[in-house]
Amino acid sequence: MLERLLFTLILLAAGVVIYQLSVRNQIRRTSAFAQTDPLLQAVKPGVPTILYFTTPTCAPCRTQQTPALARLQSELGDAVQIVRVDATEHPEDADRWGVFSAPTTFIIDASGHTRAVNHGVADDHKLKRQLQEAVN
Amino acid sequence: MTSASNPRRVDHTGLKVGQALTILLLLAAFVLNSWVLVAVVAISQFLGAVDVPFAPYRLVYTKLVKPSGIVKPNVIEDNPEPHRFAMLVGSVFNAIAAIALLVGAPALAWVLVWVVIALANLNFWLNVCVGCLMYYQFNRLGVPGFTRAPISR
Repeated sequence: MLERLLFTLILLAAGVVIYQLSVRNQIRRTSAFAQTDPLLQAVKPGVPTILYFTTPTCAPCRTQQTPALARLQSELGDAVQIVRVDATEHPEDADRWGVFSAPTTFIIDASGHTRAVNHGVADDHKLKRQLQEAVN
Repeated sequence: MTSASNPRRVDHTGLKVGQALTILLLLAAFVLNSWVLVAVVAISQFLGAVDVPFAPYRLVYTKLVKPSGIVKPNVIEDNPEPHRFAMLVGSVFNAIAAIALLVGAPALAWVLVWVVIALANLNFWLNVCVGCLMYYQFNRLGVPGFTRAPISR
């Protein structure tokens, strides 16, 4: 039984480590092209951006993520830009950004570098905190 | 887990509790080398999939977890059918795994169990419901029985 427990713990720990490493890699990789990416060509320079990937089948996107982003936008006004992308309409964009689930949100700082990525719903408090960290 | 007042609404916290129970019970099953626990999960998932009021995961959520206030209900507009289909797929995997353990094919059994653990983790942590994606894909292809298209606004 002890070896099974050990195997389970190692597998779970490996899962966590692999996920953390993949998130770091996703941030580093997308930072390299974010400034010149077609999705972000229309954004105003010098203003942080949230890049929001959604899909039509994503219920939490419709009922939680979109309202959270709307609240954030109304609170911060022009201090943040939100770019919404339907991953099913633009699968090549989703592939380029490494999106495998919806909602996924990327925090892009004012200089056009990816600072954080959220897989799953991120509430407006978390997004606001990430934006503040991106400014500092 | 369908909200009783509106069949087009789903309590996603209830789903998360079910996923957490699946993960914990299957991990315990592996550690204890117990076919009984695998069978318990298979039956619980099946009863959840057919949406009976006495489904064990539903009872744990409505009678224990929800009243305790540990988690808040998160009832949102959604189709319950894809989630039930996902549970059904999980129950089939676990039922085959339980039978495989009983007939002396542990390698097959534990591979199936770890697949379910991995998929339940994907759903729990990242909201990636592979069974739901399969359901909507079948709906798009016009497969009989998969009648619900994604809710869009």
